[in-house]
Amino acid sequence: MTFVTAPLRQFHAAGMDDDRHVVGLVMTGTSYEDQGNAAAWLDASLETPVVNAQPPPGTTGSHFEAVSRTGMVAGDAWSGQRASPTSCDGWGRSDGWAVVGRYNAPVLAATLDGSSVPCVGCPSAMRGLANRLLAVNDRGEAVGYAEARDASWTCRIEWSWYSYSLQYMTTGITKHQIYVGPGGSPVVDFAQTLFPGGFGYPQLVGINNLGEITGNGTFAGTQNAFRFDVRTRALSWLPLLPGVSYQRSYARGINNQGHVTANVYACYGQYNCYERTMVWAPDDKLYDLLEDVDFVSMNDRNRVMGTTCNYQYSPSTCQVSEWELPSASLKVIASLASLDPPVDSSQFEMAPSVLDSRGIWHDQTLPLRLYCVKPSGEVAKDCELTLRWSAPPNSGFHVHDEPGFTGANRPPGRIQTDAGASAGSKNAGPPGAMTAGTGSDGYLGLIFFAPEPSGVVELEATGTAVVDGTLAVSDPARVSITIRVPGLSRIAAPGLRVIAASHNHDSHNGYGTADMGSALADMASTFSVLLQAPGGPPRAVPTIQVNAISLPLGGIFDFRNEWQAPHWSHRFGTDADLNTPPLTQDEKDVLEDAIGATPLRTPVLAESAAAPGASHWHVAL
Amino acid sequence: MPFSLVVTLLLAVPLVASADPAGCPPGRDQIAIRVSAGVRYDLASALYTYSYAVRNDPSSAQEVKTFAVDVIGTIPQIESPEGWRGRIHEIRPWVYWRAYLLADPDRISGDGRLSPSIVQIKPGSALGGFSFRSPKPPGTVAFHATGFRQLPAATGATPEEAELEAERLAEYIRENCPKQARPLIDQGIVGATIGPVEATPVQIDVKPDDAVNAVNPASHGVIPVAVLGSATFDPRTIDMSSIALVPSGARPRKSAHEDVNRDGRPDLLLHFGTADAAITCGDSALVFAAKSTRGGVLSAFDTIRTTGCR
Repeated sequence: MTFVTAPLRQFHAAGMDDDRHVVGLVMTGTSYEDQGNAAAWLDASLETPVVNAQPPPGTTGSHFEAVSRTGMVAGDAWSGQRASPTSCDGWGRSDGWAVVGRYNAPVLAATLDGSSVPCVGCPSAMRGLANRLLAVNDRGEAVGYAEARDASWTCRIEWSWYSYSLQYMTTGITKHQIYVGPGGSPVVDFAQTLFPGGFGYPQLVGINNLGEITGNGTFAGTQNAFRFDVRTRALSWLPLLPGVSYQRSYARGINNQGHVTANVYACYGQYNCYERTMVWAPDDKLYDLLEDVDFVSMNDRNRVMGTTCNYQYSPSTCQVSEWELPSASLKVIASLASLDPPVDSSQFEMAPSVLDSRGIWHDQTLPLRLYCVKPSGEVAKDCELTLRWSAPPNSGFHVHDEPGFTGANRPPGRIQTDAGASAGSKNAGPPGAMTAGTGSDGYLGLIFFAPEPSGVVELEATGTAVVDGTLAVSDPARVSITIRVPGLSRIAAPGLRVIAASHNHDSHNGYGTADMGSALADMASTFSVLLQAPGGPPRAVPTIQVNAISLPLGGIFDFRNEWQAPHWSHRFGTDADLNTPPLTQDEKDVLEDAIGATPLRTPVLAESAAAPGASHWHVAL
Repeated sequence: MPFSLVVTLLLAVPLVASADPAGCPPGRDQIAIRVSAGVRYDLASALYTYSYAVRNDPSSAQEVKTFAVDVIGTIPQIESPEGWRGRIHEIRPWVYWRAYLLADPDRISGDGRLSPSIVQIKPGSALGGFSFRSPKPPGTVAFHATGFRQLPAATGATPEEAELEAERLAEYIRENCPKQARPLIDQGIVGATIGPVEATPVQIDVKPDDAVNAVNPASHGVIPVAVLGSATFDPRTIDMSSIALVPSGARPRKSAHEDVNRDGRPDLLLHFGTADAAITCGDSALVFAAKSTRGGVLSAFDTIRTTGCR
């Protein structure tokens, strides 16, 4: 473990990317929350500033909060006077902008001011108040918070820093922890949408390329750092140190290997307490950096950086510290092999396979290439890889694969190596597992065969190879394969109602393509018009009930929770079931006419001898 | 002084639709129909009135549920037979009629089955009263018709089985029954009739020496037709290769430019084979169409009276 220190400056460093570029805030006041401007430096030595580290035009202050592995920055900017947060007066922020961009190019326009970005689950009152992004990943996903207030809100103070912890000093203000999806939208309230009914007082401070979020929440009565996977909804807490009588922790960031940086306050008895900066590794191992610094972050090359500032004088001075953690001597990397040259990634996307009505499989395949890399960057030959892959519950919106439901074990898909070895299954069952060697060229080619259900399949690969005469084992590399039919969205139109909670998949049954949405909307609209006979009295127009369309990610819609048909055609977002029994003969006749005014085709009547009232029309594009 | 010229044209267009392969459920095309078309021009309004009667052949397996005619431009008025409703279709440039009148429209049967309309055209019967007005002159257009067919039904002992069977049936139709895999309104039959087209109206005189324009459909002779020149139209600008009668497509056997009506302007005298014109007893107009060498389409019609019919 090495330790380097940058010169004292009025610079508050908040994040460092893989190339040791550092971003943060050049302070002009006495505290981090005081006046300043976003800044970035080409190296942690802070010798060379980055040109064009600029906030949006028209702002008077800004700072960068974090930088992703490849240089995407997140932060906020403001206009007007930004005064001390210890007073009710003088807080002059005219709004709370959040910025996402790149430090080495003009920062993108403010993307989150509460009025221009739709916020799912956020109250409308958030508009105009402070919003701040605290971290961003390479895909543009971000986390932060948005502030809202109720009618009784009179004091503009919302929090201050004290002893590395957030101290809420007022009432009437609600701080909504937010998650910004890929592309900047939608903005999701963490507590209300991602983790409803979860723990109290969550704070989101970091996000990595795997969609893992780190933050803080109340656990066992105290604030503690957590790691949360947006896709699998898996939650884990920073472990307790051995022998402690009291412990609280505050996450600061997360890298793409899942290392969480955190400040830990631990007590051994009543008076023996200390505060330390630690790194919480994916295997729950805690690395104690033996220092206590602010705003610690870690890049993907085992470099940890933190800042300690002296806020007693104006302008404040800060010290940037840097550590290097012992790295695994091997690293496993995945590439998309269909590209030339193959492109490394940890996130892949593909379509689900299809078993058609004649029983013929139509496989969807993803060609991957795995290889092991030594610390020198050289590809390790004859690396033995251990692969495990599984389908995290509910990542495909099949509620029944959650614990406690029947019909779990979503099919994990099958992997076949170029040498012909095969494991896993397209059918429901346990996670797949296999071992395979890269051979003398250092690369393992394999094909992933998607199952019929959509959802995420997590592939974990661990490599073993001889490095410098010693057998080395890598940390597990995690690869996420999202199986989906692209382009589906929730279908909604006047006169049309998707019956929720049908077919045992909660309310996830109403998703379709844009064309399907237009066709159904046109059908409902035409139905409403045609039902009014020319010259006749106005007639009430019944709502057309839709039993089901497709799941949000498409794929097989197994309403019997069997991962197979029936309902097999509801996988592309182009098939819908119309609930016709409640309609009169005239209304059904008009509905058929209205269907004829759309590109919809093949209306087929599904009749049940046992339950005629369950009959419906199956229509498709 | 405004005047109206009334012409009635009867066309018999029996059709046999291209059916889906065996194994497909019956489509909406199990009909063979004859469409009689009439056209009338009102000088005062400068509108043509197109009217149609539909005869469902006795050999048809289905009753006629919908009937439509291709149109262009604005359609200021649509008339329908009793129990039918006509409108401009939402996604096709059609005047579209559908038999709506049901025996018990307010009945809730509690299932998904359709009831036939009581005014559908039964096999062996005919129904007139389909008409609309248009500023466009006549030419060959397509008509479309569908028969009434109960929805293809898949049954099951349980709702789940019914759902599975329905999906299989839908997929089977999608993959094996190309006609029924089209949008609903394209699953019927298509034929040719007279309707509004984008054309320049000109004048013709059928049998210039005969005020009655009597035509014996059984004749093996020819029908002389004079395309009359005017101050604004020179028949010598007609593209001779494009001349045809509507909708039979009959081509002239002979042609010559001469002053037929002795008005000092050149006319075009054409001779069509009577058999080629496919005139049937009861027809009362002959419609002519051609292209102009100066661009555009020319359209004209004249009255006839069929003779020798029993």
